[in-house]
Amino acid sequence: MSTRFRAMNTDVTVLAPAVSIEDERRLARQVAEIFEASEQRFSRFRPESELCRLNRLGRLSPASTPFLAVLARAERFVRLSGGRFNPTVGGALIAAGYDRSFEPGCDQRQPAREAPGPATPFEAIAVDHRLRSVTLPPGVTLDFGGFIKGWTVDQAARLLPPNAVIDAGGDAILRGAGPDGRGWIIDVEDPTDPVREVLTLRLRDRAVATSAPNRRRWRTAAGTMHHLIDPYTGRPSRSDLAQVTVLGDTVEEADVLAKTALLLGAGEGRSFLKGRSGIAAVLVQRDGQVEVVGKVEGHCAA
Amino acid sequence: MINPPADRRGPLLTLSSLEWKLALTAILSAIYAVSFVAVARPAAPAPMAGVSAQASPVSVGVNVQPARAGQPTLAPATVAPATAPRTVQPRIRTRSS
Repeated sequence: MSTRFRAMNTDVTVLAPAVSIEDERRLARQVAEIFEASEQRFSRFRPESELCRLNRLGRLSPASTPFLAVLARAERFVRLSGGRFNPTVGGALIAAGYDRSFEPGCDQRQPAREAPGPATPFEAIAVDHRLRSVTLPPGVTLDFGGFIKGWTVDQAARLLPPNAVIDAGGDAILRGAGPDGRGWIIDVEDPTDPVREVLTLRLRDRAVATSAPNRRRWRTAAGTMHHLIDPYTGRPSRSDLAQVTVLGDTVEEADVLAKTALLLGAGEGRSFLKGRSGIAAVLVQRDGQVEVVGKVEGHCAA
Repeated sequence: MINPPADRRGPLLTLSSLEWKLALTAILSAIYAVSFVAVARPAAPAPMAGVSAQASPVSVGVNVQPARAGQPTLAPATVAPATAPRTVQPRIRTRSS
């Protein structure tokens, strides 16, 4: 049994097999409220969100405590990723045609304008914690992308009982070892065929996130675009990786690391992920090769 | 009374040299045939203690996709019986969304 709701343009599933169905539904309602609060603050597609007001006016004051907290978390991951994760790519996303929300799939759109070039350094955003104000450099539009979904899952995970899951469209936090005590079963989808899997894992007390350009993409006169913008170029990535799945301690971290590795490509992405404490990953190259990076022994399905 | 010739007084079952050769050939052929059948159809091994006998694997025409180069091969995961809904092992699918 599970309880499902729709948020952030994806299906969110709450699984808590150790509690009653009534308690699971109550838990799911609380998780849904946390997702709704996140969308009210961070959605790029809700005109009254804090993010939209900041993007529209170039300044936000006073910013909410969660908004300032997310900016601080984002700055940490900008540094960790060497700038491959950078929320200032919002303008490049709009330029590429991602100017409104849509269901995963291939849509027909027109790019709004030419790619604006490399993203503005995140450090150029002025944050005054005393005044609780945020000021963007001229022309900069922020988009937190999947990072906000991961951050929201991590926030909601504080509500979970010992053996439970929140799965937000494939980015999931896993508590405990699942109903049979052998770990939750995680199927890593084949990016070339959504009915197949490239790998099945058994995980416990882990977070998992996957990054790939195969779902949020659209056609334009200039070719097929997707949502994974490389901040170094301001254009959709041309990585030789088709998909990266990262296992970590938090979903926000797994999401950033997966996106960073994908943008870096197989060679640099592998090096980037190797040796990171508590991190493992599944890389799928565009030619179909599957590679496991880091320690996943003991997690693989029997 | 006419006595039989001396060369006709021996045992009635006396065989000529040619007949002996034919008989020996028949016996050897029979032994060879029996041993050939025994080698061609060895007796089935006795089942090991605690292991039930199984039929030989038979192809039933399932279209099995070959693993791609570099793809780890894993056995299917065990799924709990569906008779206990709250203990059914759910599958979570990670993908881009």
